[in-house]
Amino acid sequence: MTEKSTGLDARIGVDLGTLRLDAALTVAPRRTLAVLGPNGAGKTTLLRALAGLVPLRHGQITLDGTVLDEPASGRYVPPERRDAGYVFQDYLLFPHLSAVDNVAFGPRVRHRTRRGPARAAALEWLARLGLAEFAHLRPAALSGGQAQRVALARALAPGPGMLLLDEPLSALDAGTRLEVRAEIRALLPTLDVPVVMVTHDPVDALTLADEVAVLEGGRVVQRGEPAEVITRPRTPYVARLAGLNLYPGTAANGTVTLGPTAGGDPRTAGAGGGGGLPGAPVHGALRVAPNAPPGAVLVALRPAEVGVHLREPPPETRVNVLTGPVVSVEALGDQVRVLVASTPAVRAEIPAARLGLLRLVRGTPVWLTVHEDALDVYPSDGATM
Amino acid sequence: MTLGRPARQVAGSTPPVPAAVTGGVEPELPRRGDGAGRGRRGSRGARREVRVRAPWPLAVPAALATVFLLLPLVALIIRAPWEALPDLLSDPSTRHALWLSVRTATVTTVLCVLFGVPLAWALARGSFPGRGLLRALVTIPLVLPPVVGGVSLLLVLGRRGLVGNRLDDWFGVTIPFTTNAVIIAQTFVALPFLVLSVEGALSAADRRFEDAAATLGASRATAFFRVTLPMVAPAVAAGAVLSWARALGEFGATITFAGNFPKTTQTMPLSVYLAMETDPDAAVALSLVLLVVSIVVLVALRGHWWDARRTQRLA
Repeated sequence: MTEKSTGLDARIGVDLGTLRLDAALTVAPRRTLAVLGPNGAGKTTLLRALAGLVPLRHGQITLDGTVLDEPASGRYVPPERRDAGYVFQDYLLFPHLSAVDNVAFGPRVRHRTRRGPARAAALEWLARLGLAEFAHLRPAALSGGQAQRVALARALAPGPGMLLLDEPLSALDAGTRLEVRAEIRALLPTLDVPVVMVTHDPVDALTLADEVAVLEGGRVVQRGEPAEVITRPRTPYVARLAGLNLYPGTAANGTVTLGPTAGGDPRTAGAGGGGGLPGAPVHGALRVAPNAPPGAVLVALRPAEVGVHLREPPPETRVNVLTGPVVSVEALGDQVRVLVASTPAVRAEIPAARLGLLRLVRGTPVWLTVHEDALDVYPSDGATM
Repeated sequence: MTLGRPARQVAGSTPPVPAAVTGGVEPELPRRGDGAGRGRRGSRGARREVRVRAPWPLAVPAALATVFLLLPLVALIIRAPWEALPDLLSDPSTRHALWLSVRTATVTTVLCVLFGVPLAWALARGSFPGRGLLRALVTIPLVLPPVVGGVSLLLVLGRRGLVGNRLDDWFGVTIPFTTNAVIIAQTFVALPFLVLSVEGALSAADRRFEDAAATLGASRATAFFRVTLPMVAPAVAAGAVLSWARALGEFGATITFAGNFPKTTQTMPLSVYLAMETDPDAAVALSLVLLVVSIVVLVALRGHWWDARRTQRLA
């Protein structure tokens, strides 16, 4: 390990079938990067490339100053010499070995540790994760949460230089997921290594990660601190995860003219916005706060900030009024999501009790009020990568 | 289950069998009974109403087929010279044949595992041109008449054979008509059983377990021996049992390539054939021994098959 550059630094270029992965990421030791993205975005391929299970086509992977893969120089360190702790989505615990022997496997083959000490160390790991009493069980006899923890212990036992987690919680039921998430959350800061976790669950990203990178179509389309990514989405995918309306447009003089922007990300510009009608182009204009940055921007709107009325409300100076028919009504606990085909289309959220008053059905004409302070306007070319 | 019933009836309707017989075969029968009983109890409790009687166009041929398969074995038991059995089996030539058979079949099985598992791995995992063709070629000994196999072996390893003449000229090694020839003939016919059994399991095994082993620091060889091989162990065992049984029963290739010399190449099947001409009672006695061995193999194999299926499900 060299002093000057510790942690993981990678530019991952892989072509695999229709997937063209080209993603850069940097993770310092003791930091967790969540790679958030839809299915098929290349998340697992990214992890496999880091682990050496898929060789790079172009780019470079450097861990603690050591180049692990660099097609340009012909350097490629095979997975067994990479020190990557990998927790697979379905764990892949060896079915013929007990939990303790699964965990002892790494130290035994990597460090040639003898059976006795390797098992003792494995037992320590299992005890640390609360699994001491299940050490002798075969994976088939373990519950999902237990298997998950054994997989984690197995990945950590050889003392890896980085930890790779592939959808660590996706195979668990809701209750166990909460439990294991809390355990991983407690475990991560104690690890001295960079952690890369891929997930499609924003809750994992928000609760476990120090930084989030959004991967779509093989590219990192947004990265930043979890809170920032989720409140200022840059793509319809993140907006949908965050439950926000998102509109691309051009800001000038307190007004955003919606529509594809010249400088914006094509993925953002071409889509109908996170709250819009799927596939429909974004039209119209929104009055925004005067201090909004000029130029190509994104406008995010929380559905709960939208007022829904059956009659046209009296005009107010700083309020946008939109109108259109209701497209869909969907219950979310004590709230109701109403999608309105206004210009632009808006997803509004109203209390269930108010729905009882409004009695909205598909086709009901409604008026929407959006205060300009409710619109979060930010440059669309900001931290997008 | 329907097939099991006539079998028991036939077995039950053979009163002339002396007590000694039932003693010989008994260890197997109660087990079967147990299993059937358990299954029946289960189905009776769960779905009594939906139990359908087999339609006669199926039931009659099925019953006939069962009788056809089992009657010869029953005949073997009925007509066995039970009083003379101890003498016949303690005859030195019989002992030699039995010992030779067990020995050669066991060596054959070891050879099959040592060479068959790597071949199965190459067929399942290798990425070389002609892999499909090779797989087809490997199965040829399965369908080839064993006599033809014996002739082919002579052409290769015989004293005038392609390789045999070199062995003879350079090393003074002669293979045909020796115990080694018996083993080679048996390996020739038994190897495909092991290869196919293991290859199937390797193809079905999830290769990502090897990925997992690699990320934990295992080289490809280590991953194979520590992860893949243990996971397909039931298939290796099943293939080994099949190979052993096939080697034990080998006749055509052995008699062609190794001849029929007492103590060195006269295995059990050969001595049964020989005895049929001189001493039919001895032939029946020897056959009975082979039948018992077959049943033991069957029992062993069923256990392994069950294991193999279970392992696959877990994986």
